[in-house]
Formats: sequence, C-alpha cells, structure tokens
Amino acid sequence: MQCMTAEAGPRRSQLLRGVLDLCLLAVIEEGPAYGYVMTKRLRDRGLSIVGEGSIYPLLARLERDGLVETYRAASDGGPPRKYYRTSRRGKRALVQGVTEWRNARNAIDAVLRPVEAEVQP
Amino acid sequence: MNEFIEECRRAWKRLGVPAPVANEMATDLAADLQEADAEGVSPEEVLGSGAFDPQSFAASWAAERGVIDRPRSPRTRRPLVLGALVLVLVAGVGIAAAQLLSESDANPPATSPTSTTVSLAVPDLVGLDLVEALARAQSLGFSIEFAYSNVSKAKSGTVIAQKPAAGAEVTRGAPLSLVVAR
Repeated sequence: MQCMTAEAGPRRSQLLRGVLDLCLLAVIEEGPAYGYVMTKRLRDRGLSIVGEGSIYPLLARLERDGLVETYRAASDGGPPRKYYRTSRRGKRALVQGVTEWRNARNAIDAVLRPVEAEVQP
Repeated sequence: MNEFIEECRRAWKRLGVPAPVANEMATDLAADLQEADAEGVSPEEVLGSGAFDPQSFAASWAAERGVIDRPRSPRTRRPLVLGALVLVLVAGVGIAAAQLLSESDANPPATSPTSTTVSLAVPDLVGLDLVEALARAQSLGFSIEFAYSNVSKAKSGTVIAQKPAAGAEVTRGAPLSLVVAR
C-alpha cells in the first residue's frame, strides 16, 4: 500500500473506492473501534484518506448491510463513542472480499509484470 | 471545525433527517474531530475530501444511514459503467464494420472513428427535491455540486436552477451544478 500513497492520482482514488469498505472491515476486525480510531489504523498502514471520501458514509453502509454491529461505550478519558465491531456476516464478507481482491490482484499482476521487466533495466 | 458541524446539521435538517440521528452523527463527528485536533491531525485527514464540502458530506452520510431516500451510488453505478463499456464496444464494432464496408466499396470511410467518449443528455432536475435530484443525477453518472439560494420563494430543498441546461450533451462524469432553495 505504501507505493500507492506516494503519488495520489485519479487511479488511486478509483482503486481505493473499490476496496475501502474491505479495508475498513479489516481494521474493524482487529478490534472494536470508533471512527477516528479506524482512520488512524488505516493511516498507520500508509492508507491516508486525504483527498478521498471520508469513512463515515461507508461505515453507515456497513452497519445498514449488517456487516458491523455498533454499541456505545466510554473512550479513554473522552466522551462515549459509537464503537463498531464486525458481525458474523461481516467476517464472512471480509474473507470473501479478501479472496476477490487477491484473485484480482494476481490476475492484474500477471498482466502487468512483463511491463515492469521491460522498464526496469 | 464547529462551523463544519453546524453546516452538516443545517444540511441534515433541510434533508429531513430525524433529530436524534442528526444529533448522533454530529456528536460522533465532533468527538472524532476534537480527538484528531488534540493530536495535531488536520480535519482533512479525518474527513477526506468531504472537509471541503460539508453539504455533500452530510447528504451522503445521511443517505447511507438510510434516513433519507436515495439509491446507493456504487450499486446503481456499476451496471451503468458496464452499460457504457458495452456502448463503447458496440460503437467500436460499428465503426470497424463501417470501415470494412466502405473499404470494400473502395470509398474513404465517412465516419470518424475517433470518438469513444460517452456523451449523456443532461436530465431536467429543476423542480425536484434535492434528494430526488441527487438520486437521479447519480444514477445517470453525473457528479453533482449544489449551492443554496435565499432568493427563491420555492419550497426549501427544491432545485430552482441547473447548469448545464436540460438536454445538453456532456461527457459522463461531468459536473452538474444545481441551485437549491434554502
């Protein structure tokens, strides 16, 4: 993911749009989190959302689709927050989504690999 | 950042978002922005591009919450993208066929094979409610920008002007500007 943040072009936006929900599910799967914590988890992996749409509408969609459950709880020294955790359906969607992503990535890599070989020397 | 949240609140009110839901979204957002600010993190890193467009941000969030009526964009868009692709392919095949035919006639091709962009007719959104207008425009593949105006006596939230005008041909994804009665 690191290379994708180096240059933020329109392609990055399009790619991200297709997988941001999956990335969100993945960081929620690491442990219950409220909105800002997810933004931080994504950013820590080099996936800044600067210049992209925010995570809030996506979180709302995940909730509406039953892929996450929510509850209110106090945060460390702060006000009570809306926490998200993956539901059973969410976990299944995550596994399926990751498989789809890997298949697509492998197929695309197979097409693009020869190009890299020609450009590098 | 308070100004941003106030703008969101106003937008939610205008869109008819129930007060408890609007309050929850505003409170959560304020807490997130406050925590980010305390860590020296800019609002843009929390809100993305939404930081510059509170009205669209608020509208899309409320729509995904299911508290205002609007088809979900990624789902409705996919078949349209496919449709556009098919159109381009069909156009390509048509052009190739035309070329073959004209070659067999030993005439130069009459059509130019260069145009592959899909042009769309701008829909008439004037008079619609903003939410309906957003839904229609999005399902057709337009991106929307809108501004509120105090001038009109039309019902609050009604689209009172648009640019380009209905019927104009534009390329897919072209922005459509709306003026909405406050």
